[in-house]
Amino acid sequence: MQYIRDLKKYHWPKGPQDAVRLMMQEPCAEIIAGGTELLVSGLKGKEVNNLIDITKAGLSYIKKERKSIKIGATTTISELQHAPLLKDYAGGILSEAARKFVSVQIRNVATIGGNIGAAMPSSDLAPVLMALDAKICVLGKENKEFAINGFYISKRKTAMAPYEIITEIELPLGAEDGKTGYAFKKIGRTEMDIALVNGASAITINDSDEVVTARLSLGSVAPNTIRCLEIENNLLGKKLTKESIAAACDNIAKSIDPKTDVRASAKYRGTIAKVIAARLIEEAYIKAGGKI
Amino acid sequence: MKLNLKVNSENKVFDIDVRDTLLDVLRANGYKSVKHGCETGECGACTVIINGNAVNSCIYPAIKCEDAEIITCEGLETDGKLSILQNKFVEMGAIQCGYCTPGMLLSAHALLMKNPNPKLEDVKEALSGNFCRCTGYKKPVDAVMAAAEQMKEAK
Repeated sequence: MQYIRDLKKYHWPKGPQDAVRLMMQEPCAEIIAGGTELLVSGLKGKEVNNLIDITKAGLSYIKKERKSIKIGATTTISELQHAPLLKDYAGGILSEAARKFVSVQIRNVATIGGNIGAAMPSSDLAPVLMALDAKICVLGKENKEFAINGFYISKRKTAMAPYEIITEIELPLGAEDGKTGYAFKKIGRTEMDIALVNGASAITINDSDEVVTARLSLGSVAPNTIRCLEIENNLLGKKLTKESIAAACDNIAKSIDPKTDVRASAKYRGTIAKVIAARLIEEAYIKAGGKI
Repeated sequence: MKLNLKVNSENKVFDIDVRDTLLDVLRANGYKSVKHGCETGECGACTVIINGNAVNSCIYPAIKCEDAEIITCEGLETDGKLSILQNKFVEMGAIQCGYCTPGMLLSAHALLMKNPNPKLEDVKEALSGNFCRCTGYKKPVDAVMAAAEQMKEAK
């Protein structure tokens, strides 16, 4: 099978600037990294005869700096899963989400930048990056930085402009005072399948076990991954109990917009989202040292 | 265009089209152990090892393999003798129709290259991207565990 019938030329830019220049030169060009999304379903309705492969553009790395961990866009999901730096960061939820990402064969090839850029609502990395308050660094005519909350506009749509590529994902280090706990959850039909509902949480508490900051994100229950700001606000300043968590999640229907597809009905997704949200909050709170 | 790479430790030069997948190129050049399954990276029948990593060759552009080292199932045997891993699959009945077997063997081989002491969970993880529609998964998982044991003894 020929993966793109009209493909004429395959480019290997040496750096991200080179990639952006090629995109501007070639009218029907698409960026490829691992290609596991692009070649399977990412090209529908697009006329593409040039591919620009950025896997040799120097964007594969995971490094710790003073205020953040920086992950190059073409770092593979397997590299995320096995990086000691990420196992020790934020309770290891990014490694855990990487472990739940389809199969070994796909994880060895698919990249973090590709997954974020594909902007599918079922991404297992997106909820985690939202809970971690990650930044997405983009290069086009100039360098830009987006907070991940707000980066997704809808299914397959991000805030990026044409001729821009994701270069780096930045995770903040030790920004919050107090003790923080994290959690990640995914409900899927099988080990390989994409999420029916997934989500992640980060909760910081003070010495009196009161919630100081809370971030809760859910995937597959809206056109793209969302932060549940209303639920987060309901938790602030409180010592949590099973009852208060359930109460905070009670109006979850207002935050989400689930759809019916072959995998699950909207009703099922809505019901599960409420359960997952409550469990994510509880787990992160307990991991932060809170007692329920 | 020409593609230079190593397949099963032999240097090769293949004539490829820019649109070919690695699966196309390998099968066209006689590596028929690499099976054509779903074409969407879901079933794992087309699994090969590229530079030490198990990869679905059906959604992998051949052009990405310049200078790569590829292992296919043909490369697991030495002088016509099956490897320990292959023998364990035969002995323990981890094969039925055989269509998924080359992919399973390569996923397992890639695991054992990196981790000679796998836990049961590691083996399950390594094989989770290989679908079998007849014999199931217990016997392949057991065969990989047994092969790992025997390979340690053989050392």
